[in-house]
Amino acid sequence: MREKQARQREADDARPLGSAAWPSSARAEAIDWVEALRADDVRQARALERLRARLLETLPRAMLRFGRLPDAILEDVVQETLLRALDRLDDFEGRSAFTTWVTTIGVRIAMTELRRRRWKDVSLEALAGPVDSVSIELGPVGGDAERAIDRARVGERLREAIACALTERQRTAIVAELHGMPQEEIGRRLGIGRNAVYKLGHDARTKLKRALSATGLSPEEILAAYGQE
Amino acid sequence: MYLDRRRVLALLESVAQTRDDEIDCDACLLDLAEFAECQLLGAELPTALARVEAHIAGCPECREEYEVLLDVLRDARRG
Repeated sequence: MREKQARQREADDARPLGSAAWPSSARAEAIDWVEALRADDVRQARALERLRARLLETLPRAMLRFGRLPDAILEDVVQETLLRALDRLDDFEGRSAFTTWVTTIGVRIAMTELRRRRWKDVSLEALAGPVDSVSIELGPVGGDAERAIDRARVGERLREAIACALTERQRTAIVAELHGMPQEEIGRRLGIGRNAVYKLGHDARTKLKRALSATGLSPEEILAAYGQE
Repeated sequence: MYLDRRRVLALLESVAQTRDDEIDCDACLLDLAEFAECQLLGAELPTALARVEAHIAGCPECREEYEVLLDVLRDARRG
């Protein structure tokens, strides 16, 4: 055990926390937090209690404009945050204050829970409709005849790109996102994680960009054609 | 599937902003604390954090989380 602690200390010394630009007080504070949380004694319990109290005080206030979590759920969120922070302690590189780093974890968990509760009764089908057919609205085709033809032409090319270049999952992801469904919630329904949904969306947008440019149109040009009334 | 005009425009804007070297939400989370502190202090943004800025601009969930984090930090500074 003592040997393990010595090895850990050597590893910590080899990877100093905080950049050189950091004020030494901030660096010392981060080191105190990490050492306390790594300690297998009362120091760890005290540090966890301080973090818990801080998160319980600050999170609900900062999240208020997005919604409110019941107290019991908030307790669970904070508990999960502390467990995850302990589990990922080695990921903390000292590039921010330690408490800021823990708060980013807490915010992600809390906002994910808030979104889950808000969207729990909404189905992908209700939002996206059947994704095997694609229909887009061009808006009013007013103005001169030449502009109306341009609009119809770019609209059809865009519709074709969405219908032909994207997979069904990619279409589902981007349509659900366009209807405001958070990525975690899309992922929950597709059986994948938030990162995988982000990748689906990114791949879809990249494909659309290429498909459109192959027709000689950039998204900016289409936006210019559509965007003016 | 059906997209109305407003959503078609939103899609085109997101397509126009898409870059090959985007980072995902987990990578954004790793740098978010440092990014938020830099922004709050008005400090110069390290080059590596420019990708966080780009991700936040295109990802509504990470943008919301960033805003909550900023509120926590502002609160702490006031307190």
